[in-house]
Formats: sequence, C-alpha cells, structure tokens
Amino acid sequence: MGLNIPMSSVLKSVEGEAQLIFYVMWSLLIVTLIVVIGIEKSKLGFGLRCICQNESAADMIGVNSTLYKSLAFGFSGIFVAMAGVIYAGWVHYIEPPDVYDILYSVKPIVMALLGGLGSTLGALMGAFLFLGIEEFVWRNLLNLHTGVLGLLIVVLLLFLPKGLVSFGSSGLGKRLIRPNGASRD
Amino acid sequence: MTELLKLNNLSRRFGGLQALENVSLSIGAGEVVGLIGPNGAGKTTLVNVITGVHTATGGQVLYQGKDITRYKPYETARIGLARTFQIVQPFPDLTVLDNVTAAALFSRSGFSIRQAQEFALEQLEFVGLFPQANLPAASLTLAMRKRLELAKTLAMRPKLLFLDEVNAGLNSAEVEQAMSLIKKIAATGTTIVLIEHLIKVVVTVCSRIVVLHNGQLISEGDPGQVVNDPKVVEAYLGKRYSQAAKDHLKNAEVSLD
Repeated sequence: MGLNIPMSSVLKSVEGEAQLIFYVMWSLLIVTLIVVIGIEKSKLGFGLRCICQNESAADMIGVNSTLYKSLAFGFSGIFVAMAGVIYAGWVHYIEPPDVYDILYSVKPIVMALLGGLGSTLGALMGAFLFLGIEEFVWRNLLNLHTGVLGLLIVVLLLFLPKGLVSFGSSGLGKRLIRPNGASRD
Repeated sequence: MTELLKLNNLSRRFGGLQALENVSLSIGAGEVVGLIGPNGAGKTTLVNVITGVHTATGGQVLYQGKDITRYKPYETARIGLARTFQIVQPFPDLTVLDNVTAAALFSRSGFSIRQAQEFALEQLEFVGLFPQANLPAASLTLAMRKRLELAKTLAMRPKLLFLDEVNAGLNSAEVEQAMSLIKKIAATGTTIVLIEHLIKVVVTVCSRIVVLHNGQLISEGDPGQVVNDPKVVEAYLGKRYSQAAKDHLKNAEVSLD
C-alpha cells in the first residue's frame, strides 16, 4: 500500500526530470542556509542562544521562551517537509515503511553531532561527512550498517562532543583562553 | 509619593509549607526598601511570586494599579520589574557584552541589536565591567559576576529593581563598591527592594525596612525603629536573647537615672 504520485506532464524525459529535481534540491539547500544564517543573526537566534544557556535567566530578562522554542521547533520542521515534498515528486511513489523509518529521525541528529551542535557550518559539514561515511559503509559493510551508525554516535559523544567545528582554529583558541578555574554555575 | 507596587494578602504554599502568609505591603516610587529576615523567612519566595517565577496561591500583586498576579516572568520583565539572582545566573558561554545586550534587547521592544549593544556598553561602563566586555561570562570572578547581574538588570531599564543578596559572598572592599553602585542607582530614581543579610548595609542605604519571618510580615518602618523592635530581635535571636536584650535596656535606663 503506497501512494502514487503522477508524473509531471511537462517533463516527459526521465533525464530532464532528474536534472530538475537535482537543481531544486540544491536550491532548497541554499534557501535553507540563507534562512538559518538569517535566524542566527536575528533577535530570534539571540534569544534561542540565551535559552540554550540558561532558560530561567532568559525568562527573567523578557525572552518569551515558550514562543521561541515553538518557533525553533516549527522552523526545524519546515525545511525537512519541503525536502520531503521534492523527494516524493522524485520517486513518484511513497510508502510509510520507506519514509517513516526510525533512522530518518536519528540521522539528522548524528549529522548535527558530527559537525558540532549550535553551529550552521557544523551542521553543513556534518551532513556531507555523514553522507560520505554512510555511502562507504553501505557499500562495504551492508549487514553492519546500523551497528556502525550506533558506534559512530557513541564515539562522537565520548571523544568529540563539540563536533568537527571544535577542530577549527577559533574553537581551539577559545578553549585555550578560558581559564581552568572558571566554573559554569 | 505615588504607589508603585502593592501586595494584598499575598500567600504562597508549597505543599505543606506556607512560605508566604498574607503579606500586605506597599512600595512607593523612588523608595529604597530593605527586605530582611532570618534564613528561610520567605524573602526570595516573595520576589519569585512578585516576578512570576512562582504563582501566588492567594492574594494579589498590583503594579501601577494593575493586577499582575498571574503574569509570567517574561511579562513582568517587560513591564519594568527586574531582579538579580542570589545565585548569579549569567549566560556562561556568551560574552559579558552579549549577556547585557540580551537583557537590553528582550526586556523592552524598540531596540535593534546594535542599539541594544550600545546601551549595554553604557551599563558596563556604569558598573565598571567595560574592560571585560569581550570575555565569556564564565571567566569572571564572583564579585564581577554580581556586577554583571546588576548591569543586566540595569539594561532592562527597570522601574522596580529587586536586588537579592548582591553582597553575599563578597569581601568588605567589594561590598563597599557594590553599595556605592546601589546608591548611584537609587539616585537615578529607580525604586529598589534590597534583600540583604548585612544589617549595617541595610540601615545605611534604605529609607524603610520590612521584616519577614516564617512567611509573615512582622515589622515595618524606619531602620532604627525596626532594628530595635522586640519581635525582630526575637525572630533573629530567639525569645531568651530578646528578653535579655530588653532587660539590658531597662537596666541601662535605670542606671542612667
């Protein structure tokens, strides 16, 4: 049981359609990036960073944290939904077991962890690196695929909690400047 | 003197504990009121209930004549109520400047991020944290963090400022600095409620003192009058010492004759 999605009447050739989807997907990535960077620099992004660090203190200075968190949740869904629409148009056929796989909820988190939480560049790097790793593992260790994914998460959380971006010079620099005695209470 | 804040029989119960019981109080604009009381008296709870962190289980909070009993913390922040935390609450990974900018930006509408930043710099200058503006808040000493809390509340342009033990944990030189800051803030016309354990500080800064004990308001008035109130002495030192103090006073009077 699935849902058939009729092929667009404009594009008769498979190749032309593939090309269209390819460009639409890339455009979506760029639009997403622009919006995310925009949010990061806006009042909303500032408020979210405050909430992330200390929610009760954020409340106390006038941040409506319920609204802000709902907005963040909404934005996190919008772009995935758009990608889903394009994907459905591409495969012409969607079926719950295909697109509601639990791994689709886990993978984006792994990508973000891999790149570094709270960083746009990190999410981007993480996604590309993850896809690279996945393709490699998929091709060579088909049976161990999920296991390797799990292992990757554990290794990341243990040894690289701040993700790839912490390798950047700025990340390292910050860590060196911070005095050891500084507590985080 | 116009009335800024009025509490009508304010109560708060935590399960079996009556943390506040029928507290009625009026605070006029421009006043500096000291709120004192032994540990666990309900001082911080009172501030929490007024600012909306906890909701009152009874009674009313009126601010400029408006009922704000059910307001949430961010709503009270936006109408001009600001508070410092007894245990300082900075955003640890943000810079000192960003901490204060956030306060300026979110507490009132009308500031762009850049304007908020400029305003924040003025506040840092005022509390003397200008040189530390670009350090992460987590790297500050305790005394500096207390000043950062002050700068954050000032950046909110408050009408009513609650200072919850800003001097706790500071040495005497740092207390002196903090007190001169508070006097400077009071001089700008901001109404201040000062929660403080150091009686010396309260007596020199405040025009009026309110004493809480076991969630009840037991005394209120001029600093000199309140400190000698037998009920207050009893709350702090127990009945025996309060009696002893009374006898001592009587004897002193007799010997004077």
